[in-house]
Amino acid sequence: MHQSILAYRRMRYLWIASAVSLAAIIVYALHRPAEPPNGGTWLGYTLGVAGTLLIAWLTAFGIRKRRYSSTLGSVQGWLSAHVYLGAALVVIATLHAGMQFGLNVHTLAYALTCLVVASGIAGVWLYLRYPELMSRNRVAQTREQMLAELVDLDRLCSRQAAAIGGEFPDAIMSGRDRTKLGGSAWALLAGRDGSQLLLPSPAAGGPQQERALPNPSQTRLLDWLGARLAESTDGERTRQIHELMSLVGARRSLLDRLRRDAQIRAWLEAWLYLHIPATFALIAALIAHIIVVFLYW
Amino acid sequence: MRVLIRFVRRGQAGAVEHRERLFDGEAVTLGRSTDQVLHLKDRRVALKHARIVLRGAVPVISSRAPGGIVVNDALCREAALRPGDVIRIGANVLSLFAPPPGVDLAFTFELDPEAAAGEAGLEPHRLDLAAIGWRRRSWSWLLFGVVTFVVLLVPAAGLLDEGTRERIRSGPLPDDGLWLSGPLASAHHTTSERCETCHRKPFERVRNGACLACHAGVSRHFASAAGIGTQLESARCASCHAEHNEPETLLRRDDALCAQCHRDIARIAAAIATTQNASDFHDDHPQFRISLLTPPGTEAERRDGTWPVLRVRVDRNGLAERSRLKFPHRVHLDPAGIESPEGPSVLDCDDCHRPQPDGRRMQPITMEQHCAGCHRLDFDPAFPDATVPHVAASVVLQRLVEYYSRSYLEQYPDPRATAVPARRVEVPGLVPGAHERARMLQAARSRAFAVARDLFERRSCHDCHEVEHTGDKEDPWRVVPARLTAEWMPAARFSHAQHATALSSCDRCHDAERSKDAADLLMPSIGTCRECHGGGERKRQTAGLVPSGCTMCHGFHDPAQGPWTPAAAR
Repeated sequence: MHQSILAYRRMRYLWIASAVSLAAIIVYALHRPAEPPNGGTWLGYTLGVAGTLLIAWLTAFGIRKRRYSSTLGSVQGWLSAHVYLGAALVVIATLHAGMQFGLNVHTLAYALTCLVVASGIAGVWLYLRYPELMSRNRVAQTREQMLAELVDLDRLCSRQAAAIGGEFPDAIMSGRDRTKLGGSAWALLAGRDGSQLLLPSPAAGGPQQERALPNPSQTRLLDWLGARLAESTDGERTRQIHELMSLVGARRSLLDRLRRDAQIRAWLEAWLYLHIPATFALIAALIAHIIVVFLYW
Repeated sequence: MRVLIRFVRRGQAGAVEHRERLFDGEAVTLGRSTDQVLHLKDRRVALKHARIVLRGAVPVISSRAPGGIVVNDALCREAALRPGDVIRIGANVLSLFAPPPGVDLAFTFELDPEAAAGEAGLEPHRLDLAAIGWRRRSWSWLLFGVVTFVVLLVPAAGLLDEGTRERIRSGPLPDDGLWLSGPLASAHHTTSERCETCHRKPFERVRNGACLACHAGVSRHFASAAGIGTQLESARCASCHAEHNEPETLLRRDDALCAQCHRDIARIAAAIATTQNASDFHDDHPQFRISLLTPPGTEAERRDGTWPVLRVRVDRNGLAERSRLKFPHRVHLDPAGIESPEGPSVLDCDDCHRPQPDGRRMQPITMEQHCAGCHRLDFDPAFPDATVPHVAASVVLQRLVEYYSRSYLEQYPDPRATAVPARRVEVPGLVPGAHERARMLQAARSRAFAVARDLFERRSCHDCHEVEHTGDKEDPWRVVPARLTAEWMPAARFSHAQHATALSSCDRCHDAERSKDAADLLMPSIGTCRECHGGGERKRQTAGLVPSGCTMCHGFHDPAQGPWTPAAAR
């Protein structure tokens, strides 16, 4: 049975992380150093060492999750611990800093720690929420199946348009060729549909429309088809246009689902593009921090 | 510009399918982007690859894409077009033919099957972030490198030599200011904020030598002759004086450090008889001891005018200040006022007691500044403006004799004086004879002694001073020297200025309004301070009291103990 990583082993790691954070806070509150609280008191050094070890261990999760043959705990357990202890890291780092911040390498390391943890929390939220949205959107299809269905629909549309003749093949081809799926980070993450349409003029042989116009969700094409449908006086032709419209409508909803799927998948990945590079920046800042405090001891 | 585009599709059996489109617009744009007039589904083609415009009547194709265009098998950027020309862009072939009337340009558009085969059909949709070129790994290493370079390597280059350091600091490059773990204490801005002033050697803690370079005259904590606390003598300055903290705290203020020794100091420093244990102001601190000036007792002291200092508990029974002055505070502080030459005058504490500019001790009280306004030293009601100076009794007596002698000799006798010779014949222009002068001087001297007796034994001097009889007929009086204690508690820092708050007035600590006698000791005991001051920082929970650590009143470096040279190498 599926168990959320947050609830792993009855939230064992939540309790551990809370206990560690609480202990750090209590010791910090009782600690009365001779100087203002900072990373150089005995508690400061202790918290600093604890935080460094914690960062090293949290980073090691990136290695452990790739070691499929490893028997060192389950990946699920590691992830649960990664999430909770990662959150506890913010408490430890804040207390280590003794609430002293400035424009320097030390606060850079702290800020990057917070950024990594915040992006991780965003990732947890996405992982808990998006897979369900994704499977609901896919309706038991894989992306490849959806793409194959798209090719099928394209062919059906073209054939139907060719059967109608006139400006229909051009319109359908333009709608197909100028359909946009993904393509840029913005289009993926915002789920933006950049599809366009270059429509033939209403009267065949007349000048063509000069510019391609936006065709989000194939609406412009469907509107155009609707207008042609209204104009049609021939029963057979009407039936054919009607058939074509339903094909284009099916294509539209498939495209929307594909786009939504790409959007969800992009978000599920996007946070990692912050989480991982920020972690590397954090490690660099951490190394600099540790070297520098002893360089100018 | 009207353009006729003929789409050509060749079937497998050699059948050719045509479809025509008439375009009317300013330019025919060609490219991979979906907003182009001719949408070329070919990865080799740029998003906006080329455009055809009318220049005069001649259509011209131009391209700024890296791949360029091939016109009549020649790669070019721009070309004027004539019917018969063939343009190739990737697998797309445009062949120009003579335009029908009313059309500016006409061409067929088809896909070269051979060229298209290499392209493997349609461009795949880019449906995830990796497909659009996002790379976690390269971003990660890039950021790692940038951060290392900016915050570590570039500033560290300044450690190579001084020239590099100054170049980095004066330029826009990140310097070792980025390494600052907290602001420099304001007192240390004299270092021009140069790290190396104190951090002389990398990876080595700041040594005392760096501190002593400026703080040469630092004092000992106690005289080392006592042979105690040698670990103090060799301590690191920075163990008490920590830099780069917020809030700025250059001074270690924890009682625990002091209490380490002072909790049991009476045993540790038994050689210093006066030491008493103390570990917390509120709970473990001896009663205050005051440094009471006592009048000279021995012959030598009397001769040298030295007043021995008596260190004594402030609450000792029968303790009296022996300043040798008569001064009832109560009379002077009478709310109804005190008699003065200008009529009754209401005095306040600060009419006489003013803090020093540093806010700590009080300025000394002097006769001239504080008393003479009322206590005027006139001696003869007939001449209220004539006064004697506030000097030794023999000098005062001398002045009086001189004064009266001159008055008599100048024949300005006191009209009420009985000693004036009654039957003296005053002949204008007559010079008194020797006998007459001797008589007058004798009379003047008697007069002066009578007035002096009045001064020393009944009036002005006697009001404030103790006057002794010397037994010497020529110099019969001596004013007993008086001295006020200037510093009652030299071992403690106390700021009157800081205590001048709405919560405390003078009489909260000094009960002067009820004091009838100068001998009354008006110094507060520790109980008075503890009304507001609690224990050290650790005991700040003592309800409503000001947390008061050792260093609030006491200093570590005692100038009285002489200069200290801690081990510079540490």
